[in-house]
Amino acid sequence: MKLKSIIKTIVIMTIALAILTMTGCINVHTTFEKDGSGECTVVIQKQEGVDKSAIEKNLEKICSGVATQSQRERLEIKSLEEKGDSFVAVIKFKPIADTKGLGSFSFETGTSFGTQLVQRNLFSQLSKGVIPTRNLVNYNNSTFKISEKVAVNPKTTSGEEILADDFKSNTNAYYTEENYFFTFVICGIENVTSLTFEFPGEILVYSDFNATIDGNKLTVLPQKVTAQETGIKNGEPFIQVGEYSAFIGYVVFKPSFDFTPYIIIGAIVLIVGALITLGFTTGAFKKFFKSKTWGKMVKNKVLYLFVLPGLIIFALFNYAPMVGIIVAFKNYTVDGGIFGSEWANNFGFEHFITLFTHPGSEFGMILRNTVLMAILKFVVCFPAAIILALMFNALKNGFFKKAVQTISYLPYFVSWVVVSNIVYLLLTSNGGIINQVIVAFGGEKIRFYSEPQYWWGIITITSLWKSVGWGTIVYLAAITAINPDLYEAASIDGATPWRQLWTVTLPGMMPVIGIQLILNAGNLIKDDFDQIFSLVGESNYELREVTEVFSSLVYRNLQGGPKGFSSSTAISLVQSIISLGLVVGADVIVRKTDNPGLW
Amino acid sequence: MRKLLILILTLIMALSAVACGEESVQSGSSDSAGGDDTVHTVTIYVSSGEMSAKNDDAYVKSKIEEKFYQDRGIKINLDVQVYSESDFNDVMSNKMASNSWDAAVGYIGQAGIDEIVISQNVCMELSDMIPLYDNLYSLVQDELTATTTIDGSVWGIPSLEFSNQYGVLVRTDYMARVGYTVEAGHSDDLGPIDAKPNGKLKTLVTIADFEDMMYRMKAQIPEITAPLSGYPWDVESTLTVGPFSNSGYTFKVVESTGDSGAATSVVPGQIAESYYETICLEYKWSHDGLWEEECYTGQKDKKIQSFVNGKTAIFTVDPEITKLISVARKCKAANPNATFTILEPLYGVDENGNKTDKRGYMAKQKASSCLVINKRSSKNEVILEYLDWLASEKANYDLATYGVENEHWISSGEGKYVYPANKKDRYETNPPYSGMYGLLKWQEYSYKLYDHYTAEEYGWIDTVRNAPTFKNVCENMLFIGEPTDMALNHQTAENDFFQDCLVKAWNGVVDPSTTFIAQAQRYRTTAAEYLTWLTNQYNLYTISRK
Amino acid sequence: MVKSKSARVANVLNIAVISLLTLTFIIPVILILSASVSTANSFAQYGYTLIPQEIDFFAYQYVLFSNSLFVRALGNSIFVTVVGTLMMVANCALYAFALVQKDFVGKKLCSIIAIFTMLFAGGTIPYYLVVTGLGLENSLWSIILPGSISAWNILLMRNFFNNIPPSLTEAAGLDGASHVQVLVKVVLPTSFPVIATVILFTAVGFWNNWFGPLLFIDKNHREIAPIQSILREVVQDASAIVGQNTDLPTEAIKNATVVVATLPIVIVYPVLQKYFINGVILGSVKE
Repeated sequence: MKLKSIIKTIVIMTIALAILTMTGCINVHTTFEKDGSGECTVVIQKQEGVDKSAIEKNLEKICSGVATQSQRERLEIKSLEEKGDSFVAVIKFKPIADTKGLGSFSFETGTSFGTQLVQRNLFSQLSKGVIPTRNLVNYNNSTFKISEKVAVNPKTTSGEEILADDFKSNTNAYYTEENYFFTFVICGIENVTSLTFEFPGEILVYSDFNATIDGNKLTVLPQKVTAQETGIKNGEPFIQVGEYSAFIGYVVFKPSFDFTPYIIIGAIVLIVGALITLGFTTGAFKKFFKSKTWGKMVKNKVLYLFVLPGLIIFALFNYAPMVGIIVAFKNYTVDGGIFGSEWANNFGFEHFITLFTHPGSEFGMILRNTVLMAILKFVVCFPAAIILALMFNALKNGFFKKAVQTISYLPYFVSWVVVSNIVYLLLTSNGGIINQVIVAFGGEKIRFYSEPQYWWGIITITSLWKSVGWGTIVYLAAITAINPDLYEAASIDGATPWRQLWTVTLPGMMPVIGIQLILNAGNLIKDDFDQIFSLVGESNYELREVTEVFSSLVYRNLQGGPKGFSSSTAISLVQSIISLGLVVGADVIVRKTDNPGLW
Repeated sequence: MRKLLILILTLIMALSAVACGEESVQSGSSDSAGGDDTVHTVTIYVSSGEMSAKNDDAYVKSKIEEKFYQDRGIKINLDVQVYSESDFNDVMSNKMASNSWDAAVGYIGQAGIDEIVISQNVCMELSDMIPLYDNLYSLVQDELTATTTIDGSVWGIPSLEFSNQYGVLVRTDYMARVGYTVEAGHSDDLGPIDAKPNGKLKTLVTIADFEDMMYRMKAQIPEITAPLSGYPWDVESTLTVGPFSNSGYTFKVVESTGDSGAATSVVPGQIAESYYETICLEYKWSHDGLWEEECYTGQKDKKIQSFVNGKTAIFTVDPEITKLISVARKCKAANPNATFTILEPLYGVDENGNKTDKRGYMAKQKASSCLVINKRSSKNEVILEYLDWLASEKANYDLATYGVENEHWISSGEGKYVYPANKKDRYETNPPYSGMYGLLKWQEYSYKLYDHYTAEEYGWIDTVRNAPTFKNVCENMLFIGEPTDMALNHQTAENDFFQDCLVKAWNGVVDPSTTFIAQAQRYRTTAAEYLTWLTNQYNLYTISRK
Repeated sequence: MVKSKSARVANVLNIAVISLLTLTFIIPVILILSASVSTANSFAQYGYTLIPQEIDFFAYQYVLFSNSLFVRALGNSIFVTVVGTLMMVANCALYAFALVQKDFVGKKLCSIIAIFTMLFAGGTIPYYLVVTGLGLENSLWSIILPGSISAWNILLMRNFFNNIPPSLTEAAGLDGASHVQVLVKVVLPTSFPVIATVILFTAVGFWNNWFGPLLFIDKNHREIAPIQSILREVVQDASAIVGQNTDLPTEAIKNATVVVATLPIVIVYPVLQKYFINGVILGSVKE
């Protein structure tokens, strides 16, 4: 009995060993969308000793390797199931052109392809056997230099003669916006026995190299090539020359007519038409044209002309650029542009989530700094401007009054850069004026540029100095508009000038103060980056806990060039939304005091 | 009132006519029609902290284009626009978004052209094209690795700057007052720190001598507030690099290698174990008042002022030799009795205080800047042709970099020029030509100095050009393409490390011997993935270049 | 009118405090002026001082004359400021006036459209693409047009218009007049304070704008660049020149630039000031 079972086990193990030494069989079928993203169905034949979890681990390794090479996540394993004698994995991928780690791909419209010299030369080079291996860094950090010369020639599906060199000219007929070019060079992915690409449209031209066409599908078989592999195995770099499987080729296809936009337009037209008919049948239109509202509109039609220039300028220069806000939900690259860049992870909220949760963005600290600084400035500067306006108003008209008013506006014109020079003179621990005074009184030098806590005061005071004079302008204008009769009446009633201040002047300024309050409320979340940048520089690490505000983060994101555009837009958007909330809140409060609100 | 309005309106219409008229005179950057006479307009944006438009730029441009047409038969219109380094970032982002550029030139490094432009995947890959231009290829091929990524793609054309650029400027009269000299052969014992030397002399040789000298200066010379003036990166590329064989915090360092010779740990310089000695020394210098206040954050102008006023004795701010010489001259003008020299690199010392033979200044990467071409540009061949033309004859490059010979400059010997006599005063305050059409600094190919240096100053320049240098192992490696989630953690780790360890040490506030090890460990944990990625990149670069 | 003693004391106190404040406002300005005429040497030795130690007008000569575009740039700035300010006042007054009319259907919508623009913005790159897409590149209109309306100013004006008593319309005998007539004959003349305010704010904004020219006017079209652009370049160049030129007084040049850039606005302001002080205008209309 025992012997039988032992023999059975041995036989099974031998068979298993035999099977293990067979090469695995993997078939890949890829379906593309128009933007180059799509789904990949990988059929892996079952092998002894290779169970589902092992395959899963391998797939995870591939996904993370691709993520590292492409700088962000590109692949998503949707499912992995057993089906008969094989495992079937369905993997979704983002636009293949920017996916690095599986091969060198391009997927773009004809016009885009045709504007790039390197792409135009590609077909010609391939036909001469020169295989470009740029961007051919695999998920496992291996780079390949293919030395074997294999000629890859184009062929049209309609049977026309075509030369690879024809594609070198940028006036080639195929370089249109309707056509799409897909090129692929894959090397070093072993055990894949066939690769099928399915396109959302008819194939016009394809590379006749180990490839067959079937409708809108291209099936490519691997080619053994000699190549030099440079890579890292177990942390050790190596070079070796060997035989590797490669898939090389290209396809020019024309997407089938996409009805979706037309369907949507058609639906809208139908709905609008239905509404209009409804309007006519129920006499709603007649009612409207007879109504008071229409009457008012006709009577005051010149007012629409009044607002027209404003609306046009708002539309062109404020609202049109606002479309750019969607980059906050994307990962902007110059190549993709505003509309072509891919959507960010987490339904586009990746940048916001990073802003709120990542410890490095220190959202809490930034929020606190921005708001606290704004509140301080507001509490100090807002009343100060009003008070100073009243003080100016109390002066007798004459040269002195004019002179001090003009001088009070001067600080506003001095840029922060210049102010920072003067502040430095005062505060530096290297012989600054304030430190000299402190030392003269026997105290110890204060290193202002290293101690954050002083900066709440410093920033507030410099803001006050710079803006208070200018701020009085609006209030002085308001005071001027107060009817002088009211003052006469009040003084006849025996009110002192002081009393008049409270009963005539301030109430008369209230509407303006109210509006200024609301408008300034929105600024509680905004900061004056110009000021901070000039006073403390862009990288003063010691003062960060006070001076790091929203704009600092935006600035740092933009320092690395266009790649920070998405995250900086996201941060600005958060600021704007909070600002909107504050303005609405302030408006409600001001209205409750019987003063006119914002709208 | 109405009349006033009418008057204003008329005035505006007149002004607007003028303004609009002006614009139409300028032709756009489109090409003029015509067969072989097509004028190829090439728009190139240059990032430079030192170059600015000058009066004769248009004149030199026409001369260049004329000669180029004579030599190569191509009509070119060089539309070169120079921006400061910070403006370049703003402008270039917009130009890339609207695809209205042909080429760009900028430095390689932090917030450099590699980060801003190359990493955006908008550059043309040049490995096939450059070899077609013989002159260009033979000139730059040794440094092409600087713009080549791991997969062998070449993304730009490198510059060729001298690797020997740096020096240290010292007031020898201050040195003499404490008994030190650069003359060889003196080795008197100078006694306690605050003892006047009284005729005794000691040669400045090692970094230990240097530190001793600074203590003496601080103690004995009341005019000095702090002897040493320089930013941390300057100090680390001149004074400490040789003795500690450490390129400083701004460069990547190979910490450890495995048996096969591959690197097992590549880290940013600031957390490397080899940096520990350097940062401790810097702390000591700052804490003891040897290194100026605000060494890290102070403005360059103020540091120059301090030196000129005699408040510092050793100057290594932005220590490129011609700049050091101009600072020395400023100081001399304010202090006629001052004397100067440029130091040779200092020797290191071992634990027993004996001199080792480790010395040198940091070698500047030859390819510190590069030119990249827009992958969608149709002018790529013209650009490469132009660069090839510059590389074919020195006279061409000189024309494009220094101006028209005999009009803007006259050769006065090997590598030197003077201004024509009748224009000398004008040109000295306002040089006639900016040099912008030379595009890249190919100093190793052709370099000319304005011949206004004294023999002593030429000697200093020789000292610098012949000084031993220390090359960073990670030279010519483009560490771009960092994955975004890693990048965030990396940035956080760096900010924290700076805030909690480095800056406090440089200000002499917190001794890094108490913070360095823990903070470096924290860095390694937070940015672990980044460090693995960095090590892999280094290994792949090394092996792909074998 | 007999002033009480407390009123006199209050007056003296007022003048004293204002004088002290004025001193703090003006001292930095004096420092700048004195630095702009100092030589490089004296600045290196003494830094910022109230009275310059050695006077040299080289900085002004450098800023004004070594750059041949200076006068043209001045003209460009004046053009931009005058046209831009006029357009701003016109656009905002019209818009605000419409917002005040009770029979304007869509009033709330229009005011929301305006206010929204104060809160949200799309970013520099889309803005750049729109302006260049409209073909405004290398033209001064790229600076004027986008800046020719502002929600802030609209709200300011709307507020003032709201406070004009309806009795004024009657006083001018304008019952049954068209909107245009009301605007021109009643509202505008009585709104000089707010119009002057808007003019001042806007003019300063246009005058100081350097970022717009940086984006839209490239280096080949510097003859249409406004003054702030040119001056900014001067400062950058002066800081950048090293190596050969050892004597350039960079600090003096920076400060001279500041003086030249802000002087025109500072001169124009007092002219407008009378509109802030005179309540007479209001009173005269009443008659």
